[in-house]
Amino acid sequence: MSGKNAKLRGRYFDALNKWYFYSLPAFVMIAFVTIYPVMINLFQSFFSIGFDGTWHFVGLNNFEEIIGSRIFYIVLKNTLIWTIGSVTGILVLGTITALLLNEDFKGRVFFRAILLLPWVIPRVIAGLLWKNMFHADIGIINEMLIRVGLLKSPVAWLGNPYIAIFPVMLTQIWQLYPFAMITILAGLQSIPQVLYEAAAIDGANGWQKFCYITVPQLFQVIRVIVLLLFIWAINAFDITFVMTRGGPVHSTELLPMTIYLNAFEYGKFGKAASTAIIASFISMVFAIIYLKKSDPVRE
Amino acid sequence: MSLRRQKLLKKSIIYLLLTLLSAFSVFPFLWMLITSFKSSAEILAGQVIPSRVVFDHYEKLFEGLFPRYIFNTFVVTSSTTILTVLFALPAAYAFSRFKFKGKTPLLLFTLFGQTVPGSVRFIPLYLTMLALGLLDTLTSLWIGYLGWLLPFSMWMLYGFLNSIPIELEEAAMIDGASRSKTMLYILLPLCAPGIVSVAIYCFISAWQEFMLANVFIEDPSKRTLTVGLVSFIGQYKIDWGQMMAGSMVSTLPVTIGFVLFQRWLISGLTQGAIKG
Repeated sequence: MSGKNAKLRGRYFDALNKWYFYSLPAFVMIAFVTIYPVMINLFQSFFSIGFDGTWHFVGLNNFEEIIGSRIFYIVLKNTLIWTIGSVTGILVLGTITALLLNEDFKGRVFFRAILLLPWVIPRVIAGLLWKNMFHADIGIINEMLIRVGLLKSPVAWLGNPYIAIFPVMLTQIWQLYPFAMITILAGLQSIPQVLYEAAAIDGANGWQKFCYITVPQLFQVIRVIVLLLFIWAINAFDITFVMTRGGPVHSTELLPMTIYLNAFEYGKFGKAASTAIIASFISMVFAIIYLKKSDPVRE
Repeated sequence: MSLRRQKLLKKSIIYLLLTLLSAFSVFPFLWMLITSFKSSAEILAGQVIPSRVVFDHYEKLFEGLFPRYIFNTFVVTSSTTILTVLFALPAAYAFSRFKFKGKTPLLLFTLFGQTVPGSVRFIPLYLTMLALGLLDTLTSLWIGYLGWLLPFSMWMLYGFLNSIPIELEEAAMIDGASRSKTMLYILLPLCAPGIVSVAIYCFISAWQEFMLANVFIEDPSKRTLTVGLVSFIGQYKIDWGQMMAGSMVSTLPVTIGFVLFQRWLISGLTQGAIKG
């Protein structure tokens, strides 16, 4: 630790004291894999790019085609139903289970573990499982409903364009409500017990305690996760791909699916890029609202 | 109604609802289990309870490419996890412990990276990998995953490091330790829980990723688990038996591990969720 050594250390290892030394690798990767592709995507959206790799400049043509196509509006409609439906379902089930688990009873930890299981498995597997269960001919759901008498003949859950979106939504809800449950539960458990005790002393009954203490906290937590759920819903791909591939007749097609189909099925990379721009714009609107609300920079 | 009876009623309702919800959550798993041991004939006939236990699907699974899928997924997921932590930790350290111009914009830029949907990135990434000649390699996957998981990992570690008081490091540096020594011997042990949380998150995310894995890889022997399972959906028929058996194998370790370690995992995840 002599003076001479300290100086030496200072000169050679000065880089270790600079912030950019530590953060450079990370930023390079992020730039390469996230920012650079986005820039390229923007650029590509003004071209028509085929499988052969040739680029033809088409200006706003791609965007005109997309906005002018009937399918685009079907997809938007699907996105609306899908997003509102699945997020509502997730929040409702999540809240109910969280409230139940917030109570004190034997076997709480056991139930919590079981209820979290759907969230722990890969999305793709969730999709495959429910695809099998909702199968028109061999699916267990039709089988059970018929045996119980609720159905007379098998329903083509995933084959009927008018209802296909619902089984897919159910799968999404099944898989994500544990996430809502666990975050809401954590929020509920962070309510100090003393609040309830004080309220009891002031003469509040169970219902009043619920309305004035539990519910506001509930709203707080839900506000935090609802936008996250919206963003996830808008960008959902795996489950729809695995269960229906966007069909039948585009009835379960969401924006990410459209992008994929444009690129790898129709061979129109340029149009896919343009769709991606539109999709990210929509997604970004929600993301910005979410970021503004959660106020990231707290120094 | 007496207080005692009220409490009993409340408890009964709670147990009833929870049992129903648990059934809803768990049934598909049971169905997966049963189907994986059912003969193909019975699966296609729509028979609910198998008449006998059949191991065919598992045999075929392990005679085929499935073990390869497991290996591939493991390689990609491990590389991704290790590299992500290796890159994210120093970067989070830089944000947490240094003052510099442009910190706020860079922080926001990181957050922005997190919001980019996969559907936007995957086509340019595909074309990039094509140009680099990396298509159809596992390398392309962990590169893609690395960039995708870094923003969130940096963010989580940044928050975590912020909660560790800087006094400890200052004390060490006053005593003459260099910055790197400080970081290694003092900070690292303290942020172990944060690192573990991030590592678990990266591992799980990479493990189940489908979009990029599906698009980048052509060669069946290089497929990852998720893509491999979906490949049982053939053009004309679906091999449900092998698909269910494969799903069982894919989810069993995670499920068991989760049930055993759920306390640690949940606290790590929710801490992050509530803090920020």
